[in-house]
Amino acid sequence: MKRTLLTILSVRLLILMVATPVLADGAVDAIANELMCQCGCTKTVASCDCGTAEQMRQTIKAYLDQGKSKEEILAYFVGQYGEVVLSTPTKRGFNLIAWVVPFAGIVLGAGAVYLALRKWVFRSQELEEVTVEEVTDAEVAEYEERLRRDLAAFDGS
Amino acid sequence: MPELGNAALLVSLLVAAYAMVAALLAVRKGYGELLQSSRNSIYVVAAFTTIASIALLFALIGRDFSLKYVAEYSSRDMTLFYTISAFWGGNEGSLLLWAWTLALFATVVVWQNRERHRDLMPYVMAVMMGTETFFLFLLTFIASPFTRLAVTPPDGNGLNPLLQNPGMFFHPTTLYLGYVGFTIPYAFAMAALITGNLGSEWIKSTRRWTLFAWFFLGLGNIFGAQWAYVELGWGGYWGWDPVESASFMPWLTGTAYLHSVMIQQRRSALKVWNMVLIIVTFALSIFGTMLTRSGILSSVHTFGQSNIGPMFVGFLGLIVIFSVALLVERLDRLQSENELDSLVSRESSFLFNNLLLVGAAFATFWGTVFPLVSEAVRGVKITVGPPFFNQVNAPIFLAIIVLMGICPLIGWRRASTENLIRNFLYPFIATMVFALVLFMGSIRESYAVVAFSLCAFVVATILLEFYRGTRARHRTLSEGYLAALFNLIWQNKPRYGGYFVHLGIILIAVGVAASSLYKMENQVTLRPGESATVKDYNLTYKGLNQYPTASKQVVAANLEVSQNGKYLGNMAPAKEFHRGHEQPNTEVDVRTTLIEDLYLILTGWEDDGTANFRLIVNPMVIWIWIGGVVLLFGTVIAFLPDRRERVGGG
Repeated sequence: MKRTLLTILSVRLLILMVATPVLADGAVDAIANELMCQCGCTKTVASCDCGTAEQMRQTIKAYLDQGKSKEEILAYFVGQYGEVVLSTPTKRGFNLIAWVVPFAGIVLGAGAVYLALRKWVFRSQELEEVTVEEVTDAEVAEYEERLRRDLAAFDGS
Repeated sequence: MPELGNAALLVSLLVAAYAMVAALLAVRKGYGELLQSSRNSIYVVAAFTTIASIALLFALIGRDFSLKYVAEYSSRDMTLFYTISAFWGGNEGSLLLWAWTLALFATVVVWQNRERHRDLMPYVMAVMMGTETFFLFLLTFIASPFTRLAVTPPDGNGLNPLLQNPGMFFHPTTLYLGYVGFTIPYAFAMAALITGNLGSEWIKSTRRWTLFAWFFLGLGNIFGAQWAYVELGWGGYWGWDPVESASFMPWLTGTAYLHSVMIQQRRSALKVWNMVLIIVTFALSIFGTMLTRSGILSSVHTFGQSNIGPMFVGFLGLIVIFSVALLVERLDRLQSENELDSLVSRESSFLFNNLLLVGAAFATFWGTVFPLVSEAVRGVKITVGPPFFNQVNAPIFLAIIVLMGICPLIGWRRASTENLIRNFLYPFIATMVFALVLFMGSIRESYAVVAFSLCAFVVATILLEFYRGTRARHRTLSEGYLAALFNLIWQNKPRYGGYFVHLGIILIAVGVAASSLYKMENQVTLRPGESATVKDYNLTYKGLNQYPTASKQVVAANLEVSQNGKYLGNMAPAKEFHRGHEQPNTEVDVRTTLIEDLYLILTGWEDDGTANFRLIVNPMVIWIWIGGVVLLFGTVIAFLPDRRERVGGG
């Protein structure tokens, strides 16, 4: 059961990792979501409704109408404003670190948690074994006798 | 009145500094009277910060534009409601709100513990007053709300129009209750480290304060989201603005802390980890205040910019160095002989939940600071915008939801295979059936199926818990089902309050997932009389109305809305031109139902009456706000006195 559950969970998580969220419809929006508005609002071009964003959307639409690809359009904006115009770091070169580090951190953390848990379980089992070995039948009998005496004394008091 | 305010701040600063030093001296030298004096000083600080706050309120309400702060953030045409909210509309006022709130909290803490924790309290008082001294220093010497102008203007600038929304009354106040509230468990943690009294007593004593701070921080975020949704006019409620992220991070680590302290209370384990979590949470609370109030990172919150950044950086550095040094000093005494009976247990699932919560906070932090890293290393400015945070955090949050379903069903100490089968079989079947139903319906995107199914899984596990508990009481105590359910909750408030909180989070998750994945949008240009559609809504543009009000000029579009041929009413998205402000303010019009919001934005218009619109359908957004209410309900239940506390149990 445990293994089945784990398998299902890992398959689900795998699906999550490869699936991409569905964006608002339209080719313009898809590209606009990958660009930051340059009016200083910290919103994407798809979200902002200022004049700058509208102009950028018009440019995207014009290039799409000319048959340019998404990559070509993004490259045009990078040429205009620099890398800062992209809403997410590129998934290559140094910027890959931005994407990898959070998950690497969690994977490493999971490893550390697992190791710590194993150590604690091991310690607990070790202690249990020691306890079992150290208490002999004679000692148990002795404790029982002492308990009986104490109880008798308690009842008598 | 302003002179009184300034004097009150100065007195508060001196007395707070004295209270801190006196508490430390008293405990070092064993002077009982000095400790009492320190205690009384805290009451004095509360009284004088109250006087300063009342002085600022009087100046605002009395329209004393000779004060720079009043002239900058209020005007004669503002209603009383917004005039009061101008108190925290700018830097100086919000710093005063921080100091005032902390002084009041400190008073409550001192009064609550007048007979308890005699060893811890001097240090608790010193830490609280140390923090208070910092804020009062800023208020007195760097950012006083009582600075006079050379020439008194006839009227003020008025509050930023974006802030003139009911959400802005509650968002900063609740957020600050959260930020300031975390000072209390942090102060107790430091006191525990200093005294070496490292058991679970300080955790028990601060459970409610932690819950209080955590809840208000969450509520502050929800109010902020609601404000952004109706006021910023871009169709969303969360933009991963650096300041939003900054208030979300301590909430995440605070959530981890709320869970992990349960292990310390039950098993005396994770002492170092809990210390780390509360230090990080408090540091992030100060970091959050710093980001809002220093303008270090550019964001929509830039109206709070000032030059107090370096002071905050210094204070934050001091907190981190002081806390970490203390922690390292006590490390040997904090090492608990952690033991665990089984890898499959509530304890281990809590550890993974902690890992994911801290992981999400780290991912958010990493995204927030990565532009600085890139600039430092490559010399290239880049942006880490909302899509990054959505893509990185979505899988982490879904994994957290998985654990929300699993954790409560795994027993403490050791979970047997039978235990797992018994607890997970029905929720698992229910989830599979639900996923199938979704798939048979129109929900086909894998992300959506997984997200909704996981939410269903958590709901199923929670309902099962309620059902089992109720049934057990019904059978063994012969209570009626309703009475059994009520008693079940009433007699286990922390536990069942927690389940309600989980339900609230799931409702929020459903709202976020649905509105992110199934948002529909249409951008149109319409001439009067023309129609456009979005989803199954038909909107006919009737024309523009322009009219002035006391403080602004309004341009509103009139749209007739029908759905599947049925007339629903008219809607009026608008732009408002506030007097004294160049940029117009977008006033969206939202029609809300339990299923979806129709969200209309007027983006522009021509002289001939042609207008541009963004027509958006946001599914299930209302469930985010309903989730917030359920969260409130659950927290209140968990907050109420529990019978186990009286008998000294966990």
